[in-house]
Amino acid sequence: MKLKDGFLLRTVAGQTVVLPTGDELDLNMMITLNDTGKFLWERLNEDTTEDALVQALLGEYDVDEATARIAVSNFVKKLSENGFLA
Amino acid sequence: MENQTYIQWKKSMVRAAKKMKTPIVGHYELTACCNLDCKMCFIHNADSNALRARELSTETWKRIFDEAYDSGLFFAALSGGECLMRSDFEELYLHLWKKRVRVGVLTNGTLISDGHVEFFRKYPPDFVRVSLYGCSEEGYLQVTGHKGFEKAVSAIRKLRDAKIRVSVVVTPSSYMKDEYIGIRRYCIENGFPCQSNNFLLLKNRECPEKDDHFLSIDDIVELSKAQYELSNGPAIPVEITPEPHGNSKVSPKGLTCNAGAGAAVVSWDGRMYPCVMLPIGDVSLLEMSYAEAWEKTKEAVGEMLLGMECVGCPYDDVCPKCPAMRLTGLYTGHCKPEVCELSRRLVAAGVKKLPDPGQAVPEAESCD
Repeated sequence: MKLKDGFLLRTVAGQTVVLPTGDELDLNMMITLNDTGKFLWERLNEDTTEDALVQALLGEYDVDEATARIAVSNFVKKLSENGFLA
Repeated sequence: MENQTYIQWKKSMVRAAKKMKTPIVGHYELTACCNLDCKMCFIHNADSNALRARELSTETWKRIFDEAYDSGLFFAALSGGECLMRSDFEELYLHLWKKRVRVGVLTNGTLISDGHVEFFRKYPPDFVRVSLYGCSEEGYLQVTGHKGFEKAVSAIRKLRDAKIRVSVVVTPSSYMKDEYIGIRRYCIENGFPCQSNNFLLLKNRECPEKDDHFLSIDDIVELSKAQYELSNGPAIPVEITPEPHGNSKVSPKGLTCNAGAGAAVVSWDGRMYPCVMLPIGDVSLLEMSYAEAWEKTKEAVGEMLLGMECVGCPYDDVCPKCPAMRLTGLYTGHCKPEVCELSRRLVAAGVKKLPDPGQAVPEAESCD
């Protein structure tokens, strides 16, 4: 599991926004990530698994495994629905 | 990841920037030149070599854009004069666009060619706002000195057909009194999104002695009533209205809007202001960096005294939120009496309604 190419993150005023890098710019598709989303997004630049993302979350945040697993699952589902995953 | 519309997303970004005092919005007046000769404007057919020589070069604008980006710029608006009169317009636009800054364009629309439409289709702007100065060729000519109505309207249609986010802007002035409602009606009939700038009670930054464009309070009430009735049916007058008054003996400091908190303006000759209507701060980007100019602009805004009469005033919600509109002169700490009178008369005419007691008053937002 990995992100498609063609996106970058920009953080402005504490808001992290996903920006397309190609010339095809969809003005209606603006995604803002919270801290956890940004953390997971950055890990998804490399090929990874949901289990690895859960472990990474557990290593970074004070959160129990069940909560981390739900967060990862929801995030990955949204990425997939919005066409961000390769 | 939240599901929200683009406008909701943009507003949330601007709110976050305002809280953190990040200049996320930049309004850049690329030129003082214009192809029109509007009676209410301080520019008249200005396309002289002398004026162009004082404009910022392509490279200077790019340097300013780069520094603005580093300071947090995310939403830019390009204006003038008429920004399409700059031969490097597309180059400057693309410089921002390639950084993924959302770029809006404020134009009179008369110079928009098929090439521009194709350019905007390929590199979509955040918005194109076309100022319309009449609802007929004759009316347009009276205000601008040029026949531009059909050109502007044709441009709006072509942009809309190309699925570019385009809208009409009307800035009411004494010279457009007879055209204003006609423009609003024309936009409704043709399905053009239309917004009005504030009625001009403001001094022009470049030409403060000019006041012939001001509308009288009577005119503003009449036009506001006609505009209200276009969309809502007959306005119902209110017989008893409270006296405008405040409950503070001290003038609050600092602006309530986005000016100088999340937004900055850079004039055609390289000066930074918090807003096109507030000539304070006034620092030159030829002498300092964007970040340094922003610090000074924020500082100047923080020292501004607002009207003490506005604190607790029953008309606070219906009165123009724009601090520049409310203030008489600059940083005097008092609200302009005409604004108080206008607010009361708009309520009396049934055009605006006072909020119910206890109802939350919305926060002033950016008028980008």
